[in-house]
Amino acid sequence: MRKLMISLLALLLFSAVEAQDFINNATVNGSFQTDVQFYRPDAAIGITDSTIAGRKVGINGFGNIIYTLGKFKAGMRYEAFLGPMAGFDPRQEGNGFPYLWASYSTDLVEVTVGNFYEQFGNGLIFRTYEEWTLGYDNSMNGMRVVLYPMKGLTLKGIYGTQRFFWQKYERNSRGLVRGADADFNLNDAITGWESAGVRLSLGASAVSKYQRDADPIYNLPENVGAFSGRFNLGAGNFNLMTEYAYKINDPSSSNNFIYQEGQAILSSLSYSQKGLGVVLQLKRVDNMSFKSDRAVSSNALDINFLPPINRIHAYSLTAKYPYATQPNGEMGLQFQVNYKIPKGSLLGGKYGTGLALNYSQVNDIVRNAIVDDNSTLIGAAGTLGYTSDFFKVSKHIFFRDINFEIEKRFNSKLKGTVQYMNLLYDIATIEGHTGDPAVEAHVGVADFTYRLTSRNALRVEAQALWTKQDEGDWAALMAEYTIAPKWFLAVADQYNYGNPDTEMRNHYYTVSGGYTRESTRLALTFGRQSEGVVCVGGVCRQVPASSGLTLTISTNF
Amino acid sequence: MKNSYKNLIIIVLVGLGFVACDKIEPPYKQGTDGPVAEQTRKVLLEDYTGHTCVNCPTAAKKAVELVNLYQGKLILMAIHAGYFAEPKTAPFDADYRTEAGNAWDTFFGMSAAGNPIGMVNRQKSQGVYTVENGDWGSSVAAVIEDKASIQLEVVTDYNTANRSLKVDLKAKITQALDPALKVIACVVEDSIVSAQRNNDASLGGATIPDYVHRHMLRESLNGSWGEDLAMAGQSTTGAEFTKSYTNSLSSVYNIEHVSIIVFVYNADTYEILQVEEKHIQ
Repeated sequence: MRKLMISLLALLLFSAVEAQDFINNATVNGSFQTDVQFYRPDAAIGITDSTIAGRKVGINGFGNIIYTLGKFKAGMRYEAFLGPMAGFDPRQEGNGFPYLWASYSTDLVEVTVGNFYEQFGNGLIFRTYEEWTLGYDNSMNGMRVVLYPMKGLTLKGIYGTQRFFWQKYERNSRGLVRGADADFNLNDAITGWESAGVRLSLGASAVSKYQRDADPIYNLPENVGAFSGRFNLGAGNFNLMTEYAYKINDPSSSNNFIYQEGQAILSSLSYSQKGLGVVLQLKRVDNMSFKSDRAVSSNALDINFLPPINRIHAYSLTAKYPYATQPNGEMGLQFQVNYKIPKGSLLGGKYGTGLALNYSQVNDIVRNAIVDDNSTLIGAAGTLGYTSDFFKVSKHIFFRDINFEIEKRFNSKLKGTVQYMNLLYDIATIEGHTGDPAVEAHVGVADFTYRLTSRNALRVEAQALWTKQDEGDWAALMAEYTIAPKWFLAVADQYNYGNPDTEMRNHYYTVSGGYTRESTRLALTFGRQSEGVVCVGGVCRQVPASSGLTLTISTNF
Repeated sequence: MKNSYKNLIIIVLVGLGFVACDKIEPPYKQGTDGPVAEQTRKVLLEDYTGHTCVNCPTAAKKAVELVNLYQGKLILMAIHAGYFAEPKTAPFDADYRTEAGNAWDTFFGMSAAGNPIGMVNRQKSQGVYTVENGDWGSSVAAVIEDKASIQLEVVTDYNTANRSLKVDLKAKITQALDPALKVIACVVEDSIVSAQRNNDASLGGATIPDYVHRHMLRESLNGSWGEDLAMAGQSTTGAEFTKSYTNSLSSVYNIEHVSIIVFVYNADTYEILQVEEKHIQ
């Protein structure tokens, strides 16, 4: 890869481009970030010298550099996890350049070699992306060609292998991924439709993975294909988007080696006008885990992405029980209304009042045993698994979130947000705590910001979570003082006062401060993080509690 | 010009339809190819597990299926280690962790990668020792026909009266080897009935109080990393090395289910070159 980059750069240097242009006309930009954690023993939450086991420091860091010269671009990302911070997959440990690429683009074509991120439609059959905070990266290493043959038509072709921590691809060590996508925007393509009241775009994709079958027990498909079709129709204030995806038999660790085909549908209807937004989303997923290594069941090597249709919460206690898409089967619905009570009305007051209602629910799909198979067990390995009625919804609820939010500015100095959340969380399914009862919780949040001067502000956040299950009740308080635009200081505490195990009624306090100048940010946090178990796709990993000091330095240029 | 666009679109759409697919028709499972030849190297599959690991019973089932498939050529050892093996409140109060198991778990990065997880002959692939259970079959298949470079003979002599066990082992080099070799002898107990968390509906409920734990590592007879069998360069073709151990077996063990697993490994790479299992009764 490095040789390829050097050859490409050399080619540029010694062909039409003058050496001077290479430097003078080029732009370079990038970003750097380092997160450092210093750990200390903290007996109250079960951290001793032996659990730290000599690993007193965890450091995650990256540097991203992009070079642009006219139509040519090249970039690299360096990463070093030495060792990874607590909570990150230990397989992250390592350092190097996992992301190197070069691209050339014109109005007709764009070619990328090396690593790239790409998405077809909503990602139901293909999406590669990177999420630094989660330590997730399934980037492609291969080639991508994008063609723009006519206005409104985009054609994409990709092939390559995916990143799996630091493990280099070797012949047959994991699967190959290849795919194509066509996106056709009729309003752009047809003369006279540019400003039509109805907007329509159509898309289709196909992706195939190849992985050798060397299994002594099962006859496995070496080529697994997936297809999807989509449309987006807009008329006036309405917009309707639907995508359907289908995948042929793909027995894997994730689906317990069943030979069932996979299906997914995602549909979204929205309406928006000034002060009002309404969204209704529906989703059905059946056996749609799609990975470039069928043996991997952990959070890695995903070829596709099944978007969640739940509100992503921002407060620590409303986000304590987050839903994770169940690729083996789920049926979900989300309904969201945002309304702003106009200024000057009785309830709107001088500044208007924002209201938001969000409801989402995800149930299991209904699975029926295949009677004429040798086994009548649902989901038994080495069988078709089950049959499932497309429109039937199981009574088994994985997740339900009803939340309501009021946002109000009282005067030029004080504004606030209050939120209520009613949650049902099937911890057995989502976190793999088999046998544990579903968590039923009420969560309340009040968040107020008071501007003391034009630059100084105080924000206070109070939260409470009440539940009889799992770790019981929690309360959280946070106060943050900001001196714009450079400084902030915050103190926070989460108190698990209702833990059924009285010895675990701990305070998880943090004190943090930060400084920002231009695009450089420095933040320090001292405190505790609670223990957890993360289960993804049938593999569970303990995320240990941690205590200590965290330092983050980031900059962009 | 317009026609060429049309043609292009048709080509692309037809191209999309040609995405490679292998639709598999039943039977989905294949038959065995019969027993593998005697002189091949035996294979050790280590299953790192724990009694509160809900996904471990499915993996254990798969391991036993492989053992049955390879009829004596594949040896299984289940190692309870890591967070999910820690004793908890009843019925998970038993502690099946072992000193050797804990040492291996940490050194090879097993439970840290998530349970269930395994190793096949402790072979490192792409920088890691861990093999996810979906790959156990293909990883075993990849080495099960390998030619053996060591012949291992294990003789046990168990005294019922005082529960003392004598293990004599003889390793004969059948193909010269350069590296230093080490040997580990372990006590394994099969069919221990004890509670297990589970989410495989075909095996039982969320907690199976009388789960049958197969091939569980109980202890090592000669330390976590064993002892030297041959120094580098000593393993010439035909060379023979012997070891002998005497140990008193814990009264907790059900002697009828106890066996000794002996394996010889490359001291530099940890790769297991030969393994043998011997039931003591």
